[in-house]
Amino acid sequence: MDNTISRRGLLRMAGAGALGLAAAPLLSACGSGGGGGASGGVSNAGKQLVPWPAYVPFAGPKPDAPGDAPGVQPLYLKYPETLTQSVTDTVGDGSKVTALVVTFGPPPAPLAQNRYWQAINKALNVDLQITVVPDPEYGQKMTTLMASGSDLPDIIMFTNLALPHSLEFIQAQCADLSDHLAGDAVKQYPNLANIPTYAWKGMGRIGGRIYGVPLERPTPANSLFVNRTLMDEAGIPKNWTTEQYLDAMRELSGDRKWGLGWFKTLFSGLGGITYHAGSLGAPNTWSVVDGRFVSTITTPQFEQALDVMRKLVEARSVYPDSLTVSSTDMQSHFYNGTVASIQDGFGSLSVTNLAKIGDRFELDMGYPYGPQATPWQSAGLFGYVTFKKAAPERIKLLLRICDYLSAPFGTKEYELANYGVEGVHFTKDEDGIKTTDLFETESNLSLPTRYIGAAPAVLYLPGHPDTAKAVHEWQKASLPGSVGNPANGLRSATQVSKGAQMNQILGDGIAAIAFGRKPLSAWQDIVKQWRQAGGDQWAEELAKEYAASQ
Amino acid sequence: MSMTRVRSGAGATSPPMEKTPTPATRMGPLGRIRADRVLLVIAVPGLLYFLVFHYGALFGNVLAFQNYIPFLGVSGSEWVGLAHFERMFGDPEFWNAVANTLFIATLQLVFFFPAPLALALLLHSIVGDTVRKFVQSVVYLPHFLSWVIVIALFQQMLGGAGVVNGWLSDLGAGSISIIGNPGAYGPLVVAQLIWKECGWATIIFLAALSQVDEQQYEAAAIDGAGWGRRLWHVTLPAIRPVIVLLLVLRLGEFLSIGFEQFFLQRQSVGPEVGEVLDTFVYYTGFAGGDFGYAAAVGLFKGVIGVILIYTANKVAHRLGEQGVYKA
Repeated sequence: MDNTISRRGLLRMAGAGALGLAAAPLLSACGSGGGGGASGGVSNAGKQLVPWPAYVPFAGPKPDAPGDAPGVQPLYLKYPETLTQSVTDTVGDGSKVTALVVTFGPPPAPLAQNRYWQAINKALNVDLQITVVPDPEYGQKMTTLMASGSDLPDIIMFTNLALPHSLEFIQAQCADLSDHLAGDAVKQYPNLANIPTYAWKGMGRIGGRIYGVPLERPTPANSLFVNRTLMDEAGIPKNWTTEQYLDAMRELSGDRKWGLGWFKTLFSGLGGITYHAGSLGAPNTWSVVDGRFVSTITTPQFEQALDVMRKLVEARSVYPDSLTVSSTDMQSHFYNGTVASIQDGFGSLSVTNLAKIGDRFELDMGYPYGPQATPWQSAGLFGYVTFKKAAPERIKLLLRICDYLSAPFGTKEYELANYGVEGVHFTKDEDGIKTTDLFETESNLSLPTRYIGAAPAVLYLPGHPDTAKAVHEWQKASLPGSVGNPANGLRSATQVSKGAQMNQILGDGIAAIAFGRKPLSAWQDIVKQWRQAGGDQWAEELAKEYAASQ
Repeated sequence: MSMTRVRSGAGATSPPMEKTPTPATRMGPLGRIRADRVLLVIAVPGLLYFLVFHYGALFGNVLAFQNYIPFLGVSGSEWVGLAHFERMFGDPEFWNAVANTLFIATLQLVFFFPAPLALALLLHSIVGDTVRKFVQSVVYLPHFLSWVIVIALFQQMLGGAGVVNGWLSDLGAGSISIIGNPGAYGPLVVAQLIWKECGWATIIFLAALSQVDEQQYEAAAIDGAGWGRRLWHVTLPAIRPVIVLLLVLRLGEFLSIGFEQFFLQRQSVGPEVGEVLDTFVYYTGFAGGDFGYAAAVGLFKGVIGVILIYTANKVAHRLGEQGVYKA
């Protein structure tokens, strides 16, 4: 007799909300003048806009192959011999600092045994207490946190996941950082000034103000990771046409192995289709036509991409339980060779994941298959951190923590934050960094300091120079045609209040068509449903914001 | 409390739970409080629990009439009156969730409700005590597994990449599609429920069966009644009040078919067959942030539940049964 938690849970939460009323007077202090509901306050149109933080790039070590404007990352095959010290002042004052961040790793070992944690605390001179929320529960945890509105941690990290009312929450409960960061003010924090402007823009302003510090990510977004060894054995070329791609996937399937694996969370929005839509030339989420915003889901290219997904499923080239498997399980299936390719975030390209593959196979990135591919660029960030409202001195301390953890590649601070303590978590030899066994349990994967501050990403994969070179080649080949999402950083009240529901409509629709529960022709109905749920309004609001930002 | 009072034939040995007030011993309210103070103190925690978590939380239903935004609170959110209810009655997704819920609830009532009764009768007929205890323990165990594990297990067995399909492909046969097949979804979720909860649900029936007077069986056997007739004329009439009681309770919760089980599997078949009222409330309220609308749907479900339990109880009285309560 399993009882429902939902209805009662909801009511219970309402009770919690009522209790939280005591904290409500806080809100009036920073409201945007009330009137027209809370959602209107987050838009930037018609507001005084504070300037973006100045960009003062760090000179840094010389790369083996340079990066470029379309987003190719600087490639490092060797670890720099001399490191710079980027932070000279004391960061903290010995006080306790709490943070809530997402995690993709196991929970950290307790502070008393965790030498990485101890070293971070010592370097920052704070007692850093991190609450980690596993990725699958992140949305739920955040909605509950925002609903309760009390007991907020000092540092609250937001991912790119659309959470209902999150912007209003930030505006109401989090510190306005504009005075500390806008324009030249950011120069007090040199490592934050080294964050490129596209990351700030991708984060966007709220009501014209800056409320967060972005966690930068390179241009490639949701990408296809392939098992190059399997592909080479099957004689599959790196560059492929749509037909060759479909054939290749069929070729790699059978005998309880599959060409491609998706996972559950890809279908709560457009995640599952990005590689295909980009390959076939569909615009990245939105395109701007004569000042109007047109959604990619209305384009014929998008329907072609749906058709490819459908054909993949029909040919039994896709892992059959792709709609129910978690991301971590699917990654395991990829690492152990059950599936030959996986759609995943570019951030999955890390030393820790390469270690899981070991010498089983050679990792490579999948090239887009269409003749006029428009690979979708990322928003330029993984997410951003915000701070609970506090006195300016406290905010400065928190910003210094972000500054320290955002120190770029080639600094001592980067080395500590990313690899830990030399001799304990890693050693150095002529090939560069070699992580120790302890690194697997004590690192910024289990204690995700990298979600409090992140350096602009470079391409350096210690011990895997060939993979790094292959990825660099792939970036050079695929990024020139790539396109950004024109809606990045633009605000829409409709998206704030209904974005999650609209995403669900699309995710459900893509799944239904890809898995053959609905015919391809049903896509137009889904588009209609999405428009009625707020899609049209969203487009209008974006157009207004876009015009105001030009 | 009246539910737990057992009707015993003679009544002579039952403890005096309520003293019959006679003129000589009539006490004032204060006197009664004094006399029952220990019982009252014992009742306080339970009373508080109900006041805070059930009656207190009832006020949360005010959300159903607001465009509620959590951190603005009840006083800061916009009052919309019956707008959510109007929207609800015109919302095809809501009706889709209602239809799915009714379909699965009916399947549960027809297939899940009698299953523990049958199992209890089987267990009761096992003579050897050790064997019975062992079987009982085994069938209880799944109750203690969480839905996440149960569903993972079913997927590992029946999924497209699962064990069964592995065997079939080894044998060169085609694969069967159960997980992710909308047509198989209803039977699948009821099968999962039976697997997980059937054993546990036998407890009450077994307790009732142990109350059946052995002499009646002997008398029936002497009169030449076989196994079937003894079941029909002795066992079932004896435990009928318990069956009706559970049925009334079940009908009151008719629309509450469970949350986690459906939440975890909704995506594999899509909302067309996988969305039930509770997941609908979750997706609009928690994932979508539309707390007001979600609360309206929840309230609607609660009202239907009250009507159902009231009606079922009335029907039970008509049939001469005790039901859940007597008004």
